[in-house]
Amino acid sequence: MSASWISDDQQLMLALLRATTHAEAVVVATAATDDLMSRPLIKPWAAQDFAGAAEGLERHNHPVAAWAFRMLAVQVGDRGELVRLGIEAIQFSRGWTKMVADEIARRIRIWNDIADGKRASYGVDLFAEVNRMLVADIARKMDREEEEIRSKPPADIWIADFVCAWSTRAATEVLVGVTRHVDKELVESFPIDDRSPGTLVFAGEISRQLHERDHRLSWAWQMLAAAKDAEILRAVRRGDEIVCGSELPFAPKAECIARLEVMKKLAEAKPEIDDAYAVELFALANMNWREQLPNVEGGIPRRTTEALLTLLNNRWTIAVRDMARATRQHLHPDLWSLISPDIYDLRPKTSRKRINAIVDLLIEDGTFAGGELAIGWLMVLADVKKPSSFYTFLPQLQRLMDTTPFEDGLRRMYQDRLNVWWRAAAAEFVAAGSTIFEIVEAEVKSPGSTAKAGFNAARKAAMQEFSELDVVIDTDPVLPHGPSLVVMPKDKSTKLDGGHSVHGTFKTLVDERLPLVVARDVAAVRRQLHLEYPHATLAVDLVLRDLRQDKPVTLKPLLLVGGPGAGKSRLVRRLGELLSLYVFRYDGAAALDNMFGGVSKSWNSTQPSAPARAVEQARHANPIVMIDELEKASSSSHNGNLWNAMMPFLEPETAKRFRDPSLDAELDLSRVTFCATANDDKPLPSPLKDRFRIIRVPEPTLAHLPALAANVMRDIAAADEVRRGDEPLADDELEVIGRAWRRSGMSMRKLQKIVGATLDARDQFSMRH
Amino acid sequence: MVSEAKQRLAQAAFAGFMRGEEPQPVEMATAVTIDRWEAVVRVDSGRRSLILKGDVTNHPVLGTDRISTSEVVWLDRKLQWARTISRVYRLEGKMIDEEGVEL
Repeated sequence: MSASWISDDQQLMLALLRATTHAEAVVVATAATDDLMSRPLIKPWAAQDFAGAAEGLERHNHPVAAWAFRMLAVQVGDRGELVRLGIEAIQFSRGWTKMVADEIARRIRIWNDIADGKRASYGVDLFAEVNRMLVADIARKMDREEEEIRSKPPADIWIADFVCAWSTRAATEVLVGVTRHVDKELVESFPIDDRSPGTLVFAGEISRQLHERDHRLSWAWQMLAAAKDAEILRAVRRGDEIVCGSELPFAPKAECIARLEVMKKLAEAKPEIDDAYAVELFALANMNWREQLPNVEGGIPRRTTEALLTLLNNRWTIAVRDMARATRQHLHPDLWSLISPDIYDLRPKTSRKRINAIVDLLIEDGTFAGGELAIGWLMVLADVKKPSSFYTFLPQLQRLMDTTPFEDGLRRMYQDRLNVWWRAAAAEFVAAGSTIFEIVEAEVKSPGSTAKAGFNAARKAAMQEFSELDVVIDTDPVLPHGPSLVVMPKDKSTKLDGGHSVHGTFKTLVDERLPLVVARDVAAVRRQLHLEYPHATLAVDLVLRDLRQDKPVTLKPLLLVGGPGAGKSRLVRRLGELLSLYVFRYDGAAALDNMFGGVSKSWNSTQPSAPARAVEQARHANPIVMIDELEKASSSSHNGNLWNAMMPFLEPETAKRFRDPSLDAELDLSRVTFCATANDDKPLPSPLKDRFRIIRVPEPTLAHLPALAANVMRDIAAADEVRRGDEPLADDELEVIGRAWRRSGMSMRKLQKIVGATLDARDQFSMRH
Repeated sequence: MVSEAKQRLAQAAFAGFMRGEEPQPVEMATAVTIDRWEAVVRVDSGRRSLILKGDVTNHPVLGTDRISTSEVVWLDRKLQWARTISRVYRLEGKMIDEEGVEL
């Protein structure tokens, strides 16, 4: 899929082919290859030696960039090269999105026609000529359509009649005629020939009166009422939207947009011409609109949501650049200069304030397009460490996507990317340490590649459980359809003591149906764990024995026994991650008392039991409670001890009706899974051991080294972006690692250290060269 | 199910917000207040959306309770209000994150 995404290559090709002059094409090509050019390898372009630059780029394996420079170098007489360039362009575009490939093909066809001699060329500036021919093509297409329109007037044709009127007076006539059908009295006395200030106020009043009834008519009157630059700009921009959203056919739509474009340019360039240009805005547009046609090329209304385009980009800096470019085109130049001339150099950390200022300006602007740009800038500001920074634009973005017409394949690709943004909003990547743009790129290439914290996976799973919730909860409350459980029934809870701050969040559990996380793909979980624990496949199978496909996860209490570093705790953590269960860790070695079972509410240090806290944090009814180093807990019975405190939770009967001493409420904790780890099970009392399924986790041997070392490499790469491109370990490296590992006692933790050290050594070695 | 009319109203409101409008003063005055609220991403047969959870008082349908709203159409950038498919909410207090900590 990533191949069909708009890459830098595609952007370069499109921009180059769209250039209206050779000079513009040079700017495009050199800007796009900026970072390549800064290296000494491709100097010749400075001397306008395009062919030389192309060769250099080719040698260094940048075929598309090389192609661009050959385009700059090509002469009209060199037909062979022209044809070759055309074929290459089509080959490059194979597999790219249809929209992009189509546009490239459309333009290449003209280049080919020139090569074939089907179209005469002056041979001076091919880019300019191709562009001119394209305009002529569009005009011809328009003529054809005009025929059809004349025979059967389409809906909304009045909009074209109005925008394309040859003078302001003619436009006024059209508009008065149309408005008469809606409200005769309103326009009865409107002076068609008069453009005095009084008339403008009159037009503005009509616009206001029509606002509720017909926003498009209201807009047309706004056009007539506009006299100042800012007013004209605003009206024209609204016009863009109205024209694009209308049901006009291609040709009139393109012409309307071209004319509005002229008006926009006039308003922006204001001082040169007479102040009174507003009086003959329509006539000026009538004279100059054809020049603007290339800008509406393809008839694709430029309404592809700017904000969505940012999704395409795979780097923060590019996103900022694109947004800056689009904003510069949109905002009035005065406003633009207020923001900053060096906007292209914005940095994520320091630019928050300035970007916020831009967003404010765009929102004040009061146009739909302004709103879209604002969303784009908010996207630029989004921070995966703060999921809440996604809340203020993602619903909007999703709605824009839903309401914008796309070709199906394109929509799927957009949605795939957008879904990664949603996952960021669901706090899935808070620990990822890269920007959302990088994460999107990585996730689209291989889903699940971004490291996530166990908690967030659990949260996601809990959310998945709501997946069949009805659409409107606040008109008709319903319960989740998936399996769920009330952990804290109201009738069995005394009123929670407001004085204890620890209880605050527990209040929300009262009578709340919590989802039960369901085992989605047991086979995949088993496969993955086998892969990660090649030395303990039997243990893995025992752990997973109670799992049933598509049933809520609850495992009998497990006790994993094995030497230090066999990977027991990690196994439990991975189990939680893969099953999307929240893992609550309780340190057995630090437990000197019976805190595990909760501290009575009559004590100042009151605290709910560990399993209750696990449920409260997990927000699902079946989290895992992991008790690390169970055998190291103090066995003194002075303040009670962990072992005794745990007992009631290990029996389904008592766990189902556990009275928490702190919450003073009866809880159903029967779906909580308890996993304990121990280096040795001998010190544990038999009654406790009897309640666990005891699973021995063997230590790995040298035979498992290659598989385990590969796992470690993967973990390192996931945590450290710099390590992502690292070569797999070579045989001689594995041998060295194996020797060191055996010396240090064959634990997983040691292996991680050794592999890490090997990679560091590699870096130092290569740096010296 | 959401009525078609509601969807259309929501879409109209959305278009207005896109143009920089805000809920009318009347709407704000009559809006349901939601307190101690949090935003939650919901997945509904593959489609993702944002909903709010929080305490409401005198909600026309749900009375006074801790509730989940319908899909959020727009969350105000300054976190003063939110428009869901069904209605406008006035956001009281600060947003709480998953662990109940005020941000």
